[in-house]
Amino acid sequence: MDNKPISTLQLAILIFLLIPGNSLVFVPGTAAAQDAWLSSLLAIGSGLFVLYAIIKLHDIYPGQKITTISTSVLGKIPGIIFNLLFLWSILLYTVWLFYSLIMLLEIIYPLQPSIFLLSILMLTCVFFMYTGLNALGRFGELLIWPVLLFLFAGVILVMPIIDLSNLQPVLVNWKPVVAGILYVAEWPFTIVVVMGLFLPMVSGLSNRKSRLKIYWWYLGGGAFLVLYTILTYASLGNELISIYQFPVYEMFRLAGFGDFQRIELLFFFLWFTTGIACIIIFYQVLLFMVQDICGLPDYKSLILPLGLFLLVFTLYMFPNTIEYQLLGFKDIPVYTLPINFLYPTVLLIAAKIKQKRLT
Amino acid sequence: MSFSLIYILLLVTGLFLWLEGGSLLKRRNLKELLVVLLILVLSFGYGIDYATNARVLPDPKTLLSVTRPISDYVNTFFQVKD
Repeated sequence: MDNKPISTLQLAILIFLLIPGNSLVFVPGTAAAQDAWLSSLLAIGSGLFVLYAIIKLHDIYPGQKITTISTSVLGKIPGIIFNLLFLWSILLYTVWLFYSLIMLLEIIYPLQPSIFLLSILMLTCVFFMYTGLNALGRFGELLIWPVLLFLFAGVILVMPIIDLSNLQPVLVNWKPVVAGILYVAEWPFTIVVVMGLFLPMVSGLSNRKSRLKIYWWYLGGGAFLVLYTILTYASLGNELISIYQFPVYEMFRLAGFGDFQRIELLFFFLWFTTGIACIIIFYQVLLFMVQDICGLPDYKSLILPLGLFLLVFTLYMFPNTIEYQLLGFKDIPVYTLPINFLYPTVLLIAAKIKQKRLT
Repeated sequence: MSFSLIYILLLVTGLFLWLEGGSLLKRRNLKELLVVLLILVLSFGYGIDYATNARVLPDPKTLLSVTRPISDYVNTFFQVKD
C-alpha cells in the first residue's frame, strides 16, 4: 500500500460529487429546452474522454501533476502560458460557484449581508485547506451516503408532480440540442479535468479494477444529472424553467407528501454540502496551480491570501445577478469549454508524440 | 457593505500574519514572500476599489466580454433562446 493521502475510491467519490455540486439547483443544457436531458446524456462522453486523457497522461508521467506535465511536454514558456489559461478558467469556476452558493444561502438567510455569508464560506474552505488532502478524501467518503440518500429520495418525492408530456416534442430541431451538448459538456462534465492535479496523490491507481471505479462513479453522477433534468422538465415544463432562477429548487417547492410540505428546505443539505465540496476541490486545485506555476515548495502560506483574493474577486466579478447571469451562462462557457477540453487533449497528443520519439 | 469589506480584509490579513507570518519570515524564501505579497496587494487593491466604488483598476470582466461576439454567434447559429 503506497503512502498517498487519497484512495482511488475517494477520488471517484469526489468526481461524483463534482457533478451535482456544480450544477446545484440549476439545470445545465437549458439551451436545448425540453431536449436538455438528451443533451446531458450525449454530453457524458466529453467528461469520459477528459477522464481518460488525464489518467493516460498520468500513466505516461506517473507522480506528476497535469501542470507539471504541461511544462515538461510543451516546454517551459508554452507550458506556463497553457497553465495560466487553465488557472484563469478554474478561477472563474470557483468565483462563479462561490456566488451561486451565496445566492442559494440568501434564500434561507435573507437578512444576512452577502459579504458575511461569503466570509464564513471562505473561512470554512480555509479550514479544510489547513486540514490537508486526506480530510478532503474522507469528507467525500462521509458525504456520499447522505448525498445518495437525498438524490434517491428526491426522485421519489417529485414523482407525483411529473407530467411526461412536458418532455415532448422530442428532437424537433437538432441545433439547440447540439448547443445543449456544448453547454453541458462545459458545465459540469469536462470540469473533471481538475482531477488531473489530484492523480499523483491517489493510491492504487495502477490497479485496473480500482481505476474502473473512477469511470463508474463519474457515469453515476452523469446518470443522476440526466435523471434530474428529466424530472425538472417533466414537473415544471420548459416555460417555467426559463423563468425560474433555480429550477430544481422550485421543483422541490412544488413537491411534498401529505401534510409534509416545504421539503425544499431539507434539500438544502444536499445543495450546500455538494456545493461546498466542489468549492473546496477548486480551491485546492488553485493552490496546487499557483504553487506549481510559481515553483514554491509548499502552498500552506498561500491558503489565506488566496481565500481573501477569491472573496474580493467574487464580489468584484459579480456585483449583481444580471452580471452573474451574463458572465456565467454566456461569456464564461465560451472560454472554459475549449480550455477544459483542449488542455488535456493537447497535452496527451504532445506526450504521445514525445513518447514515440523517445522509443 | 463597503466598510465591512475593509474590516474583513484587515481581519483576514491579521489572521494570516498570526498563523503564517512568523514561519514565512523564518523560511526567508523570497519567491514565496513575493507571491503572497502579490496576492495580498491584488486583494487589497480590488477590495478597496470595490468598497469605495472607485473603479480605478482594470476590470477583469473585460477579458471575458471579448468573447461575447463568439457566444452571440454560437447562440444565433444554434438557435438558442435567451
